[in-house]
Amino acid sequence: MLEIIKLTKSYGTKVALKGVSLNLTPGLYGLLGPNGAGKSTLLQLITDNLVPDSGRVLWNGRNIIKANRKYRKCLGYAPQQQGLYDTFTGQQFLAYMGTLKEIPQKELEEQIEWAAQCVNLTKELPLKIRGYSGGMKQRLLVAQAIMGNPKLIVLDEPTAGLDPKERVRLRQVLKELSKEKIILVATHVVSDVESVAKEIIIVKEGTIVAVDKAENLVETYAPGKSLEEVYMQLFSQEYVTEDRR
Amino acid sequence: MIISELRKLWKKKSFLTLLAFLLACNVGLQILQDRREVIPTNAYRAFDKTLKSMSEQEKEDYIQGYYERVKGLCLVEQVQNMQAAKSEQSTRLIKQLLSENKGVYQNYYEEWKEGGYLIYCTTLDEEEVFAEEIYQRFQKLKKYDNYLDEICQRAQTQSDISIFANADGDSNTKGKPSFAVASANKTAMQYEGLKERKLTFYSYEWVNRIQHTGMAEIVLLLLLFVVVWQMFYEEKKKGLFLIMRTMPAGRLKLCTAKIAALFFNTTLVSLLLYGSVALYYMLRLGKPDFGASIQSVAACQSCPYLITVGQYVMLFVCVRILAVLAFAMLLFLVEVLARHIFWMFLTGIGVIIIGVLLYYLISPAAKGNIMHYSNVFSWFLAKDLLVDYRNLNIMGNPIDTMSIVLVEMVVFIGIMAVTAAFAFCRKRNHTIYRLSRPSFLKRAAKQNVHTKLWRYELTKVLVIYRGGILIFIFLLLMVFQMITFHPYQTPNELRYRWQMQEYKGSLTREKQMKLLKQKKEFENIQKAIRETKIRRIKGEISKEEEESQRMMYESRLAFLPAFQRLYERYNYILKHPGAQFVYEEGYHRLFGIMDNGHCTLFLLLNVVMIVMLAPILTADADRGMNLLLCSTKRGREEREDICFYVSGGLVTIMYLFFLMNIFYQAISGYGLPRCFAPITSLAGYEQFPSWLPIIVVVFGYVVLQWFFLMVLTAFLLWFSKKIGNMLHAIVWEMIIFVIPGVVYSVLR
Repeated sequence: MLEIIKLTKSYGTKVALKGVSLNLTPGLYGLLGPNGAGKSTLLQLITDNLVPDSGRVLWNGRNIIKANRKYRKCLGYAPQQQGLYDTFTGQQFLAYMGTLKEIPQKELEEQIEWAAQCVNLTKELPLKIRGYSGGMKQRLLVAQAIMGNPKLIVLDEPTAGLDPKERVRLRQVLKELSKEKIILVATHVVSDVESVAKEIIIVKEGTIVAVDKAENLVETYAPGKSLEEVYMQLFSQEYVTEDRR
Repeated sequence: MIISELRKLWKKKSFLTLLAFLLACNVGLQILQDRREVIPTNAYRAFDKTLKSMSEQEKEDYIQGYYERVKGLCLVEQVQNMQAAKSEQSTRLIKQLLSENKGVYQNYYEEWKEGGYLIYCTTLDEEEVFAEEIYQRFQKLKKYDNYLDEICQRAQTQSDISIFANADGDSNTKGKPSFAVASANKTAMQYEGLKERKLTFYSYEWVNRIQHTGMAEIVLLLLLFVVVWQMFYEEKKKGLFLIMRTMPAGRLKLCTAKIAALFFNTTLVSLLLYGSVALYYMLRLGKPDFGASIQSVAACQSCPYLITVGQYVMLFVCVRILAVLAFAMLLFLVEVLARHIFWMFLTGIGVIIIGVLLYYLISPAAKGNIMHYSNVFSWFLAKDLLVDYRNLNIMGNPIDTMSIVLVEMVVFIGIMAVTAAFAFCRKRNHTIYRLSRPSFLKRAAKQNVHTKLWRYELTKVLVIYRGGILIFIFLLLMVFQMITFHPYQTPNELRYRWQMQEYKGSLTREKQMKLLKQKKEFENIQKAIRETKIRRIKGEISKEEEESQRMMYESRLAFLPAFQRLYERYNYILKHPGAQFVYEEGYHRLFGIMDNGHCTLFLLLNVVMIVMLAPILTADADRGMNLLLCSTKRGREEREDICFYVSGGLVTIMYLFFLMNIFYQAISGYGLPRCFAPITSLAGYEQFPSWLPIIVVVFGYVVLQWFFLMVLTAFLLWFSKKIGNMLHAIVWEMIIFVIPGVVYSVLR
């Protein structure tokens, strides 16, 4: 179980997260919010790439900073950026990530095959990454994140650049994986998580404004409408302001 | 549109950086090449300065006098060296030399003895080579009229033979002179106009040097590939060609703008490259007399055109630029037609290789000699075209190579431009494809799944961060230096080396006796010379008798400086028990890291290290991969350590090649004798314990240097990581580690 307790993080004078608290159990969580809401900061704190100003992240009751080694073995992370190694093949890249994750040699090949199959990249594995499209690179990042049987998978905009078919496919894979794992997906695209997420977490200006099942959120904020309408309603002030600008 | 095409290239920081780097490399290579020349560049500059105020007659007298003087001094040195050998053969040779050069020895002996006879160079050997070079050039110039007469004479003879042959009734040649006759007549006519040409003698080394810039051509070819690549391939890759083709400006207009921009870019790049070399040599050799006729330059004497040095240089550059444009247009056409950059490189390199083969396999005098001249490689050799006048047989008519090649180049450029424009306008598919690996390589890659992190990190350093290329270039340079290393030792140094070899090992009673005897001998010689002089002053002997007696002694005295060094070593050994006679120069070279040659090499090693190591821990941050890598267990805990081990390994390989080069130079030049003798045998190492053998200190020195490099590696990795940006890290590390070294090296 992942517990986030009163996390606060600032960049200079700008406060990115203000006392965020969350409890995550196995299942898929959708993290929604506009640009600059603090989604990526929260993910980086969860992956221990940033140190919080205050607050803690507990993994099975232990602070992740103290449980560093054990925690990392349970973590799979796919960042937003795509500056992959162009001269590596997809297979080499996955093998490299598998090595970093300490997947034993015996299992590595099997794991690579499985992960590639999950994201529909089996055929492209022997090709160099420089020949991959944006969507293929994104799928490769997701593949490396799910390798090694991690208990916690953190994905930052995993569907960016994917075509609708791959989007649906990925959604199904994540849904399947979420039965035993905690999967946290940060995205702008409401439809990516609407149907599969156990809970939707909506972040606004560094605070969590809502955490609930998608249908409950719809009922509370926009009865009879879609989650997208809820999102629009919650951030309508911003849209108005942006339009005026 | 042309301006926007130009902006695309000249506003690109990466291109400008590469251009600056290659220009600097080019000048750097010229400097290295100059250092290898026997004659220092300053000699030509000083010589030309001396000639400046002289008339042609005065120049002739001066050169004649200078040549004879240097030859005389060399003779004295030669005789002295042979006398020192004290063998029968050398005595016979001395007699022969003296009889062949009567009075020369006596004329120059005093001057040689007093020293200070060097004018333009630092050693007599260099001065001799320089005097010979200048003398030959002057002789060639002096015989210019004979050379012209010879050409006219040859034409006349050919013509006579032809008339004779025609009279014999050769029906095929009747009425029309054969190609050989027509060619000889045309050549004679071409050179006829050059008679009465006023020649002004100077060394004109500047003209020679700018025509032999071997590395500049390679750098230029590299730049051409880069220019075409940046101008077309990048746009094609980004799919901009497809957008541009749909613009209302029109495809032809767009293509014309691109071709015009290519012309401008290649011309500018060529001018910058040759300009930088010309400027460098102008700073080193001084400004040549641009107004003098080109035939004044000995190497260009056979040039058949009525032009000055300045005009020749301009013509030379124009021909080169035309060749560059022709090559660039060919690359452009391939770029338009091909769907992968690989084809451009393949065609470019292939055309050059074919050109080289045609140039060297077909002789300029052979039947199909047109192939010798009609290729890209030959077009680049502008000097051959301008200087070596030759007529080619074009349907029985003699046409000179220069005209043929100029027409060929212009037609070639035109055809390439028209074809490229046509292809650009007509071709719809401007997308590029990736070259896929052969299936066996794919299989190999599939099997290559392993969990050795160091192998992944090594691949990243060598392939992704291009460290492999840097290491390869460094290793090539080390091997090149070893192959081209020629040790030079002064006669005094050689004599000292011989003596040390004679005395090598521990100081024994016999050696001591021999040394003291030798000392006594030198004292006696000096005493005898003094006495002879007194006797001559008193009038007891004539000047000639004094000379002959002194000659006998002086040859032995040539060994005095070497003996004095040996005697110093003897005194040193007496003061330091256990020390032995060891010829130490090789060890000094080995340990002399701050000696200029080693210092440059060590700085080069540092530069390669900086450029290779800077991206290792910064590039991942630049590309946003750090977050991903640090989210894994080994990525956070072990990766940096492994990066250090991999970097250390690569630096060690480079250091081993560096050592190999240094050791090779020390051993082949001076030798590393008696390596098991105590280190105290070498002056300057007396503070070390006397039981320590030299070999252990050498080993310790190597280990210490390696350890320093490992510390430096760790520091560079840490510092680059702290800076966080690869380019900034490289700049700062260069400022901290390289620039002080360069300043030190220059100030020395």
